[in-house]
Amino acid sequence: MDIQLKKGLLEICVLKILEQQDSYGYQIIKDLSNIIQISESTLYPILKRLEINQYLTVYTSEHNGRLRKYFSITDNGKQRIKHFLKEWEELIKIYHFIKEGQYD
Amino acid sequence: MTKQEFISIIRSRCSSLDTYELEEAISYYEEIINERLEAGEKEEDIIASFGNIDQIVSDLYANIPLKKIIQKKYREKQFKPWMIILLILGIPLFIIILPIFIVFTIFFSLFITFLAIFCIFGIAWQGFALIVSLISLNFIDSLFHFGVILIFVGLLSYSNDRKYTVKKPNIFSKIKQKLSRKGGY
Repeated sequence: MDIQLKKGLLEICVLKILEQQDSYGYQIIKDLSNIIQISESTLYPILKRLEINQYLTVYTSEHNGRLRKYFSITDNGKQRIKHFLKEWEELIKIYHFIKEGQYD
Repeated sequence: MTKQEFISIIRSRCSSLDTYELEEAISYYEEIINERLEAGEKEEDIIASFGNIDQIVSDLYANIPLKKIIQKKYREKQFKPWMIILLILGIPLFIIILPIFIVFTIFFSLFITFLAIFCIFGIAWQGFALIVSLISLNFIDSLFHFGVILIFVGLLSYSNDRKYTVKKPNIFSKIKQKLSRKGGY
């Protein structure tokens, strides 16, 4: 898959996971690995970018005597998912056109 | 590779990252390693699964805005062009001022030295006068001589102040210091 496309998709996937419940780095990777291949070093910049764009917020919570960084989706993040889905409806139209040469 | 080794490599390879960015990245990897250790994986396997460390380092750099990196490099290394121009323009002025400064320094140090000698003689003289006036029970005069001694003592301590005891023009050592500091970068 195209790297840029994958990055974009991963961002939305992370947001979708966080929409279900707050989560932390390792758990996000575990959840994602069911649908899309991702490594720790790929996730880090994605989380940072989402934070910078205010799609998520960060808080820490103690776990087994150390701090665990939790990520929580913002309203902006939820909007981002909606926007993505809308965009893809258009893309699917284009996909069908490319595949079958038909207009809806 | 152990966790500590991994972290210290990241730390040294990313030393020109912003301190905050670097610590944040390190704490991210630390957390991942700890989670996977708790899940029962081996330390070495975890680090190995991260893949090429060069890739991790370049990802960390790619992630921050370019502007931030450049700013940091600029602060560290750049010898600003306007400084060179200023330096060149300043040289004639420097050549004129330097002899004046040296002569002034020598005269000033001589003046201070003479002042000190004058004060010592003054104290001796007024001390003698004080003893004489005390013996002749002339207390008003003694008070006067005592006051003059105090003035001389004050002048003497002033001329002995470290700022003014210029043994030799030390401008060269100052320039040397500045140059060697510049060379350090």
